Amino acid sequence: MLFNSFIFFIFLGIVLPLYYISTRNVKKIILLVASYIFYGYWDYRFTSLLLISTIVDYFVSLSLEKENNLLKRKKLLLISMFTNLGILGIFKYYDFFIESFSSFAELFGSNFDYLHLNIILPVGISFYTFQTMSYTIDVYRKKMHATKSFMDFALFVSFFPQLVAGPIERASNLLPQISKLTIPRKEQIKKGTVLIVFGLFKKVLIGDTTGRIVDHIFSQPHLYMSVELISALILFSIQIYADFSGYSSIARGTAKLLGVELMKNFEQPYLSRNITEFWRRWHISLSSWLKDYLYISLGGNRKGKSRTYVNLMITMLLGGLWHGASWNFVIWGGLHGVYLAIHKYSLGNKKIVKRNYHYDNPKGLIGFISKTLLTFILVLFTWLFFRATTFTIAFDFINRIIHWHSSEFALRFIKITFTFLIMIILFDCFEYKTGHHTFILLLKSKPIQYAVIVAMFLVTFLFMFHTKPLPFVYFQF
Amino acid sequence: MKNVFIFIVAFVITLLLLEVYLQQSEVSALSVTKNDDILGITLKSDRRLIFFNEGFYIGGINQYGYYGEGYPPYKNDNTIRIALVGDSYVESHQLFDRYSFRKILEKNLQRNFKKQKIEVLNFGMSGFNLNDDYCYYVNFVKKFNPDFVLFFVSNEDFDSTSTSDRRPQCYLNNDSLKIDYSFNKKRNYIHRKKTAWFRGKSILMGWIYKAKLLIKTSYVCEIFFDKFCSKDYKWKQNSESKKDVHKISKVIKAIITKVKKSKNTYFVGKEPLSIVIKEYLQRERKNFISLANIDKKKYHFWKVSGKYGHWNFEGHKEVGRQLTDTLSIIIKNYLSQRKNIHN
Repeated sequence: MLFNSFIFFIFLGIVLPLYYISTRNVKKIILLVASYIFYGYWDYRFTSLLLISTIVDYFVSLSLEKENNLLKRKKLLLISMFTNLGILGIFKYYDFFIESFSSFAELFGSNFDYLHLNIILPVGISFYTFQTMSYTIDVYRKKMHATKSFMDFALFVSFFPQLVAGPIERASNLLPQISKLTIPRKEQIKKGTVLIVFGLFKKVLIGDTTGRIVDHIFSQPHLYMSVELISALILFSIQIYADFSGYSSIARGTAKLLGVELMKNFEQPYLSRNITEFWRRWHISLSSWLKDYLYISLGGNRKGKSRTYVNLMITMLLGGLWHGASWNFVIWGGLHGVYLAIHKYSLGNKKIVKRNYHYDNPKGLIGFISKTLLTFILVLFTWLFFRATTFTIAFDFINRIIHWHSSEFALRFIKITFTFLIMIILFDCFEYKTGHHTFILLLKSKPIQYAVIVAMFLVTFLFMFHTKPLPFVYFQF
Repeated sequence: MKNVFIFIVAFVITLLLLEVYLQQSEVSALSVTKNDDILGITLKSDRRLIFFNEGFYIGGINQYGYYGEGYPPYKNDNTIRIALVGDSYVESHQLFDRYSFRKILEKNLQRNFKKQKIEVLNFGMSGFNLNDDYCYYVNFVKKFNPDFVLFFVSNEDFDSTSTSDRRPQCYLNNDSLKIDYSFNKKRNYIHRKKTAWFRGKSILMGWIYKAKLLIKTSYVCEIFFDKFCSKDYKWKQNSESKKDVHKISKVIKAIITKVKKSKNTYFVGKEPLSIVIKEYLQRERKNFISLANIDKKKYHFWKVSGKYGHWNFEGHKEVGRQLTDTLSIIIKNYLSQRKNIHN
């Protein structure tokens, strides 16, 4: 079920009171059942995949805990990786590889289209398989002990607030909280509520509304003029950010209402001064997963400069492929890999300043704005390949921008785009300046806090009431 | 008390700021209709509109109170003006006006008749039937002095006995066609008139009004309970579902007779019309334009929304092309008759 649907709030309205009045063990059962109901709501058949992944990794990690022989440990790890990547490979990538292979074979007169299975992609498969693999790898690396409680582990894998679109949680953060489930503190309830309201607003009134325009323009770019296409690209950059960060906020907020703290997945990525910083602020759970379990496993920066760049490219290409079974995602990942490699090369031995920027003079602010603007433009270009479903669409887009076509709606599209940009930048600026995603709670006046939250919720509710909810963009991954 | 006051003030200010955001980002459109005591629910002038359903429309109502490019009521002798009257198919809120059959027709005819200025005016109104079309034509469209009027009709229009309490309606009084304007005294209309100012100034008020309407319908179940209540949408070939129209209502017959007296008015079938209707129109020597094959699925499928509905881009192209072919002959004859009269 979608977070931006009324049925989800009815579901939450049932789960939360039951959760609050139960003992710890009963809490776990309630959450586990609720999580499977939540996941099974899309298609009950895919709960079996969730269960398979859970069972295999539970037993593999217990065996890893007991086993000291390095070869046997590697074999056990391979069982987990094979199961999870096998499930992912079949359900997500099988048809893609057959199609690619078939296209290649056609050059030699052969055809393998009959091997297409038209498999339905289970929702959230990329997220929970990565989550369980991270657990098994951490146990293998002896970074943590395997949990003996099947209930705890099953809940770690299926925890509904973050099951279908992340954040991809680390077992070291989530498992201890699950093993000691408690009712939330007053502070958590307040912050959780604010995160849900802000997340819904971002998802519904920024993400969905920009998405309506984006979907139509990207489906047939040859019908639209240059300004309309540029607007659509900028609106897509807003859509994917508002949609995903909105979802992540709702996930974190819902988890807080259950007394659980999930990691932040976004930290104002469009205010990044360079591409390296962008990847520390965008989809943090995935980028840190790729760094810890892929980039470092490949050798990271420990095997010389050339190998570092190769490892970086492989990580980003596979990171692109994770997003979808299509070559345009690989190109998207590849472009980011090139950007990162160039930036790394330009830095030499310098380190990136990680935290918030503080400017002391107008020159500093101008520098900050120009760097963020340049980074945004570079990222914007990659979003074209991310959103365009085929190369033809991407090149149509570029062609119609280069060969300028004027539009009778140019000013209107510019105004619409600008308005959405201002709204998302406002959210980001407040978060950036205060360091809090629930910045409204920093206001001293409680009546003003409540007024803003209630008003935002009311407006979002009214919009949800008479429009059909759009799924989260990242559900397709 | 102080806290309550602060809450209320902050609440109102937040709502106002959000209202500005909604209007500038065109998340939704302000109400584009007004309540006219003669026309009933009609369009406000100079209004912007953005609309998403099967497709995506951005445009608006011109200063004269109809959709698309604004041509004033007065026209010079060298202008050939064609008025399109009908429902949402004519309104064409599924795609930009530049791709609508109205614009295609206008461009094509202008290419064919370089010496004249061709103007095609869109008087489409969602939900209109032939009864509504005629009243609208008499009270509004006629003021624009069209040389040709095309009424877009479907099978449903001919045996329809449904009436609206928000618009004038035709009726028979001793076999004489009259227009009933009593709608402007009805409760529904008066209520709409009272709330019109708010709905015209505020998107939020418009949403509250829509929510009230939705609560009265069965859609509330679908909104709250999702797939437990949702209805499957299936493509229904228009001609399949309505091929059994065997009778034409008396009011419609009277409208057709009245319209017949105006020169250069045509009925355009949006879908294949039943044999009964076609034969009746032929017997009455009523000018009828048939659009061939326009009911095919390929002209109604919208890729982005995955829905079947109004004519899509290909559908509009096809309608534009067919109307161009037919109207080119009609206009050619019209111009030569005019030339003969002058000579």
